[in-house]
Amino acid sequence: MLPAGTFYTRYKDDTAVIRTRFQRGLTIAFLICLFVIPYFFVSASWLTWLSIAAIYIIIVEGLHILTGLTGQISIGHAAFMGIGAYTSANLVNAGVPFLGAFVAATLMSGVICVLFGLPALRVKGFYLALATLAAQMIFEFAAKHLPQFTEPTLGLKTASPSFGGLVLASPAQKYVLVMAVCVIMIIVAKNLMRSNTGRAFMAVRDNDIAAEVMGINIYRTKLIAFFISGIFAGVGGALWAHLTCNVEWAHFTLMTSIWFLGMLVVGGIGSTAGAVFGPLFVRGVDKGVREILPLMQQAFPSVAVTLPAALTVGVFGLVVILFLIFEPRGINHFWTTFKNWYRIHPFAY
Amino acid sequence: MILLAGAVTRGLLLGGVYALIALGFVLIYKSTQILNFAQGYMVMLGGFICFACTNQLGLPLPVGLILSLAAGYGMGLFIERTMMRPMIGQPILAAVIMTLALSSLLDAIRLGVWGEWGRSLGFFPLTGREIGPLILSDSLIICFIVALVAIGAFLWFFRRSMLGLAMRGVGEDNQLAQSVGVKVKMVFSTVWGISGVISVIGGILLGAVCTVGTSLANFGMIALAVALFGGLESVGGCLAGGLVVGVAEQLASTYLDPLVTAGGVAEVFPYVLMMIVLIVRPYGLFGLERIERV
Repeated sequence: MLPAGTFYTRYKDDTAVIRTRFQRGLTIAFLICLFVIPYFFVSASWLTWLSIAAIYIIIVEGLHILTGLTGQISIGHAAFMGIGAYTSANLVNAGVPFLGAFVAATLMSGVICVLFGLPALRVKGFYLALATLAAQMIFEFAAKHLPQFTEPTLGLKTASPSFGGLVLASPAQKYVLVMAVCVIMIIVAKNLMRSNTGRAFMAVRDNDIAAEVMGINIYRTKLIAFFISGIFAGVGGALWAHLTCNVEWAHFTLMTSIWFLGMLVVGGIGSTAGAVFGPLFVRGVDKGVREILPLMQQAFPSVAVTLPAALTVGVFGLVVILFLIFEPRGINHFWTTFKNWYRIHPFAY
Repeated sequence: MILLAGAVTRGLLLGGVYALIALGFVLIYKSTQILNFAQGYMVMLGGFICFACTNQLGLPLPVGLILSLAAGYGMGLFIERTMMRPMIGQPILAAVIMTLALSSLLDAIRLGVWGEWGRSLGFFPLTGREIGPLILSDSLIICFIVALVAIGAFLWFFRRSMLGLAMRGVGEDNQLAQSVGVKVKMVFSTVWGISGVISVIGGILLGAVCTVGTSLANFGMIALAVALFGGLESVGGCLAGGLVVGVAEQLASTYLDPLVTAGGVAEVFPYVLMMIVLIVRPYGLFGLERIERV
């Protein structure tokens, strides 16, 4: 979002994220609105919706680092999220303070993610996707068969997030926490992309052999990508555990992993902004479908029982397929086009 | 001892069906370089298509079976024409995510049309027979034989017919094949069609072993492990992979189930095996090890 006629005289200005005073003001105003308006004026159900969308944004940012930047497909992000959720919930239930459990859960997710990224030492591309698929399946099995940790039938109950004596119990308070973490994670992801490590990721994605020739340690880079991605998934999972206070394995299935990849595609692979647009759009469509569900159920009473599941899954699949066919660059491409138009605004080119 | 023998025979019989499903998978990978993650859901839908053709439409059994195979071919063609063809020239990542999105769409079709509950196909015999000390169900034996015959037929087709030759050529190099006059797009759609047929056969056979339902998708996913074990490029490797994975799964389920709460090791063991294969020998038993040069 740069108006025409803005020029830079220093390299530092040219690489900045926030470039003009107007942009800085706009960003601050947006952040204030982001936290203040929902806190006072939005209903609890929408607050929860926003919080869940924010958690999905965190996870999709992590997936963006792994898939978008490093080019490694992961079909197991729901599992890594679930590991974060279960670790955090179990630790909090065992009496560990929320912050400690949170950090432990993120590290746990990161380490497990690296563990399943280990085949990267031998293989690349599809084969790695198979390893993450294995991670997903093994996680689902563990979640169903380790009742002392996961309570597979009823769901594992846990407490709301608390800092010392301050308990964040209401949806509004939780929303502020989740959104704050989400903003921090987006900034981390954005800056990672501009750093040395991020450029190494992109080099590995574009041509791994050339990257190696240029002195990048491919294996280390891939494993770092897996670790960071796992950390993001762990953050999302831990927040999820204490947002819903009830961790069920049904939220971390293969389908959820596919949803994350779909969100990434819809937003636009390879950009931080895309990883924000994707979850918002997909969740928005999902919400819309759920709104019109009663009407559809009246129209087709014979399949009324299974219609909700069928319609939400089907519409999601259709959205992703249509995006892949007609706009593989995702929503982010519209945004980029708009920015380019605004950059030269009064002129045609 | 009988426990062991029973597990091995059951594993071998089931492994044949896995091998068949993995074949559909390998065909697509060999010709189009796309890993079709929707194979599991195609198998599931195949089972339901057969249920619709034989039970819901009320057709005589042979007609219903042939109709469902034709529907499978149509499903494959439709998927190729509408979803996979726009992916030509796109990054492989996009094609893989397309197959994942496709699997959610197929699942939605299943939920919308047939609902949540599994169905029974009902035309497989429920009898069993004694072979030595073992008791094996007739349907499992029929499944194994049908799977072997189908694999043999596809292998013959792949090795001997002109179209099979074209498929192998396309698998080697798309542009090269096009330049010597092979219709690459036609080959792609045929491959997807055949894979659709294989999915339906797999769905029917697995439907004989358990009911036609969501579990078929899990079985279909196991085919991924099978294909990987045999080598993703190897058609013959499918058979070996299928038998090994089938036996390993049954052995695990026999000997490890008592150690785990609520059992069910069989559904996860192929993936553990897959992980080990990925770390130890990622190109599978008969796969081609890629050597890359700059």
